[in-house]
Amino acid sequence: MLKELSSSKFLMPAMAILAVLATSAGFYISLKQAQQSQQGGSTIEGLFWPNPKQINEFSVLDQDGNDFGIKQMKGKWSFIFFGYSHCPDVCPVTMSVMADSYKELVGDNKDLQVIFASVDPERDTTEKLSQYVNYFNPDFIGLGGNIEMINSLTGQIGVAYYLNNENQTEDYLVDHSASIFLIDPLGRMVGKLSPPHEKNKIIQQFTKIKNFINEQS
Amino acid sequence: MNKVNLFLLTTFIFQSLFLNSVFAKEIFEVDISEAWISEAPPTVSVLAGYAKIHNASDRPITLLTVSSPNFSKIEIHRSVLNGDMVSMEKQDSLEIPARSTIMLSPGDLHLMLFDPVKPLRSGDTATLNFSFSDGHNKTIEAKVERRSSEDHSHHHH
Repeated sequence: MLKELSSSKFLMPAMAILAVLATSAGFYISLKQAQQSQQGGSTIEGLFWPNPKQINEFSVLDQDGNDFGIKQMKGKWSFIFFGYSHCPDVCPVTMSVMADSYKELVGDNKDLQVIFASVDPERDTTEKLSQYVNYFNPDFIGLGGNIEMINSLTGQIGVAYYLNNENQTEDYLVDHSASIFLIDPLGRMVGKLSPPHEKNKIIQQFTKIKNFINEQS
Repeated sequence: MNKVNLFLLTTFIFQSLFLNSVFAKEIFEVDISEAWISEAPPTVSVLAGYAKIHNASDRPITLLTVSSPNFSKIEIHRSVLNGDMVSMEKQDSLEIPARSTIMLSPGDLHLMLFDPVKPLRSGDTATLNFSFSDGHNKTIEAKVERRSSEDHSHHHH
């Protein structure tokens, strides 16, 4: 018997059947996973689900010098982008796309807020932030403060930034996240919109994610 | 071939060679178009400049510097996305390969314009002087415009 099994006559078809079975099983499992993740909504681009990160307390200042924390995010949908006002290209490109997206979205979404969070505490004073965000839309919120305050927010969202000011010049550049983060009214980070940012893409992604989150509750 | 014909032919060849060398010095085959400067929010002292640079010649030409009476300093930068992080990389120079076009466009290569001499608002113009490796200079006027969300996909003009 053993001798017969090990002969190529038997072994080859047996291996072939095994291979087919393994492949089918693998295919079945991945199909099942795909179905499950579809039910879980993972097919929506940029959606963090299940288990979105709960944003906890942080303490920064808004463009009028008022305290701003998780309390000011509860009950609202928030877009948040990290940048700095001395950034001539990516930040104003992103903010003008956000301004155009906001204009179209705000009619049906009164609970929407757009936040520009500065990662350049030295140069972005409250006064500067106020004029900066107001240029794009008077409704926009500008967040800043000292470095500990800023770190309390970047820590909660989980973004890194890097100040290239080792030469102590005034014209230093800052490396920062290029994504726009989406926080739901319960203070959960439910999505991340990746660059390149385009108005229609932002509107579509936001609408899909919002509808999905509303269906869950 | 008689003598007259030979003379004419030689003259013709000589002339074309001579004229060619003269024209090669006169014609600078780099064209800069669609130049614009994005209006910056008030209190912001750095602006971005964009343009299309076309090199119609058979050899690569390098853009060395850009200067302007309207700004204290101009640098060539590229916005680079590394994973989720974006940073700006200063370019010491910019090579435009033979017979090709380089776009300075939002989110990519751009001019970083420092400290405008006086505030620039949409509708203003600024002078930009491009200096190239072969000794040529090109001076153009760039219009200041407010950004729109369409900047990514198409260009003004």
